[in-house]
Amino acid sequence: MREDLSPLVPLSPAILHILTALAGEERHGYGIMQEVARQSEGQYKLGPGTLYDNLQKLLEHAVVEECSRRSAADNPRRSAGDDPRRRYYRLTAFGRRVLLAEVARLEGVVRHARLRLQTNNPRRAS
Amino acid sequence: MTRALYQFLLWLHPPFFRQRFGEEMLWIYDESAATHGVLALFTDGLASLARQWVMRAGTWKLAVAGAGGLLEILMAGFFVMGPAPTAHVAATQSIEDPAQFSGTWKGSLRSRPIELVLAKEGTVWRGEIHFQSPDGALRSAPLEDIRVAGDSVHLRVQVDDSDMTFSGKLVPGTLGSRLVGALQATADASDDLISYSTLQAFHA
Repeated sequence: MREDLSPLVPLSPAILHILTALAGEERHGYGIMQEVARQSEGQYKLGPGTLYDNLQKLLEHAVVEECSRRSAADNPRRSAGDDPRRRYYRLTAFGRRVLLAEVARLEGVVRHARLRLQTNNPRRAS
Repeated sequence: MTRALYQFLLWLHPPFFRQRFGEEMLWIYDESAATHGVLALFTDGLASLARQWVMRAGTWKLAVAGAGGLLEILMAGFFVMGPAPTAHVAATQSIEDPAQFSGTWKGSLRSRPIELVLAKEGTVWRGEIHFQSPDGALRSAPLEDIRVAGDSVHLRVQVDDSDMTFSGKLVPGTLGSRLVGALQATADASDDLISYSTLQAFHA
C-alpha cells in the first residue's frame, strides 16, 4: 500500500537539512545545527528557535523521535560528563521514508530542469 | 546580561514549547553565543517567539475573531444606523467545547498502540489508559487528576513505579479533531521509563 506523504512533502529547506543531518546517526540539537552548517558548507545556518520549532513539528508527525535514555547512553559520542540538558533525536522508519520521498522528488526536479536547459538552449549567432 | 535577556525571551514562549525545549535552547545559547553571534541568536529567538504564538498556539484564531468583530462594529457604524454588534461574541466562539474530549482516543506511542478513554461523570472527569508495553503485554491504568480547560487537557498516570503527566490539546482537522500532546515522566524511576514522548490520537 502506498503511503500518503503529501502533507509533509515537499519539505521546507530547514526540515530537509534537519532530516539529512539525522539520516546518518542520532544527534542532539546543537549537533544538528553543526551538521547542517557542515553539510551546507556554512551557507545555511540554523538557529535554535528555527531548529526546535521544526523539531516540534517533526515529533508531532512521528518523523523524528527522541532517543530513550538507554539508547542515548549507548551512543559512543555521549560521554559520562554529557550536559544533562542535551536530548538526542533520531529519524523514525516513517521519517526515513519521508526523506527518501523528498530525495526522489528533488531528483525528478533536477532531471526535468536539466532536460529543459538542454532542449531550450538558445543557439548562439555564429 | 545577554544570557538573562535570552532566558526572558524563552520565558515569553508558550508554556508547552518552553517546558519542552527551553532548557535545550538555553544550552545551545551557552554553547554557540560566541561563534554564532548574540544578535543572530536573538533574531532567531524573536522569530521563533512570533511563530509559536501566531502559528502554533492558535492565537491567530482569536486575533482573526477579534478583527472580525471590530470590522463588524466599523461596518455597522458606516452602513447601519443602530446599535453595533459586540466583538466578544466572535472571539469566544473559537473556544472548544470541553465535551469534545469525551470518548476513546486511539493513537500510537513509540510505534506501539495506545488508547485513552475519557468520560465526564457529573463535574468530574474519569479515564483509563490502555497501551502495549515493550514486552508486548497489554496494560491498563487509571487516569488521575484530569483537568480540562478550553481546548487543553492535563492528566496524570501511574504505571508501576513510573509517574507520568500528559498535556495535550485538541487540534481541529478536516477528518475531525486530533488530540496532540506529550507524555512526560515526573520522576526518574527506571531506565525504561518514558522520559518524554509525543502522542497523537484520533477520536475512535
